[in-house]
Amino acid sequence: MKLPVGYPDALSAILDAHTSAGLVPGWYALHFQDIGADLRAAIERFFPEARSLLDLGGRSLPYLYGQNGAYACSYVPVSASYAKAVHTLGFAAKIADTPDTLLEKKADLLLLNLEIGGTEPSFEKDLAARALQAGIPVLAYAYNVPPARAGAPCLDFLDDGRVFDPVALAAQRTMIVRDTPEYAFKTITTYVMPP
Amino acid sequence: MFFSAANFYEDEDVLSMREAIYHGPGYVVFKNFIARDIARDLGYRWFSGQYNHLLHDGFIKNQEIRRDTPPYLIRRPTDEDWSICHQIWSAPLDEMAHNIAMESQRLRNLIEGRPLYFGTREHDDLLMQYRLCRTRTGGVTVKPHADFMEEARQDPSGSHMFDPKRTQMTLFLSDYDLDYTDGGFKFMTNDERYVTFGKDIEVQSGDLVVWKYTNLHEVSDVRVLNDSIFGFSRIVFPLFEGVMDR
Repeated sequence: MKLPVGYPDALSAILDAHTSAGLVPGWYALHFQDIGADLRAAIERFFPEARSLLDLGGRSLPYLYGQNGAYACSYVPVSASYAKAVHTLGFAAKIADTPDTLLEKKADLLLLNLEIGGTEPSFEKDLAARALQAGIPVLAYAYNVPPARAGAPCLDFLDDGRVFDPVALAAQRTMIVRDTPEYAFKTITTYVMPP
Repeated sequence: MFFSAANFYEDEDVLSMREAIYHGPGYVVFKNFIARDIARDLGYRWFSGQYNHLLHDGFIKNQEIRRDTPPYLIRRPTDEDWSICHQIWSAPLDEMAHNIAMESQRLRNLIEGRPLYFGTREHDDLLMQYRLCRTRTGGVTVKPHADFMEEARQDPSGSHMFDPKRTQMTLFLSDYDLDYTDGGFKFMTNDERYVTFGKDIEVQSGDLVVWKYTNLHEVSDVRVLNDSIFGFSRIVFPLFEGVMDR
């Protein structure tokens, strides 16, 4: 995809990978490299020993960008489009049949994108609880959550067109954090849509 | 049933439109989006000038459009070239045109993954205008440019930061080789071919083209045929930032 002058060349392939997977070239694709860097920084800061990771849904996978095997990663393909985009970019990530399979194999860390559960928040909460029960810490985060506004719709869309609910997301995060030992659960940047 | 799918944004038709615009040629043509007769009637209604008395006759800057801006007529670059600008948030002068604009916007929202009626509600960050445009003179009417590619703008409709998901739509109201020839709407495809709709890509009045806004485009070299009052006529659907805050 053609870019304006001054944008990194790598972004062109990233946008193409996302559009070929059926995603809108929106906020997530545009900020793919920044998201990856932020996630890597968070992993290194909070869980520096973690090398075998489980991702729910494929939206954590930007952290693999440019890492060339530094991590072993599996993911539960909740959203086929995000995972497809990442595979198009040549990242090595294996599909996990179910979250249970991964948890049994004792991944070092569960990456939990709080938006990916869409309108089914219990799925994420259960997964987080099971991971913690199995002794696997959780790094949770949210992307692109617009501030709630009076009179504005509280449901919004991910780049694959699925609905998420920022209000439910906030409540869910609170619930998970409340029941979780601090050492085992970290939240990182909440990205806010630029004006 | 409209809401029969779990996610109508992932409907096969929507995915194929997205594929065409973002990853294929850069545009998609909806044949007979409105009936050809309706398109030509609509064009005649407005380009015959019979309702010009309902319009503010003069240029209004994009940056000055606000809640109470009336429908207005721009005559640029010559007296023969008209843009009749209707605000989607105002009471419609032409219910038919208004309905067509709403349906077009709904389609664009599906493609861009936005709420279905985004751009038509007062609380939205961007608000839509629909412009019935007629070009009857030759030369360059709309200079070659790309939107949301961070090009400098004299009178921007809002931020022009890079935004590759943005699309624009052109609803054709006249016919190549009947009302005009030689030029018209020229567009750079994703694989960098410069095509003219009507000439290189078959379109007729009533067809809607949705195209990638960040690609180079222009309107030029129109030569009117048969003394047509239409020349190259179409509706375009720009979005404006900050309308309700002014």
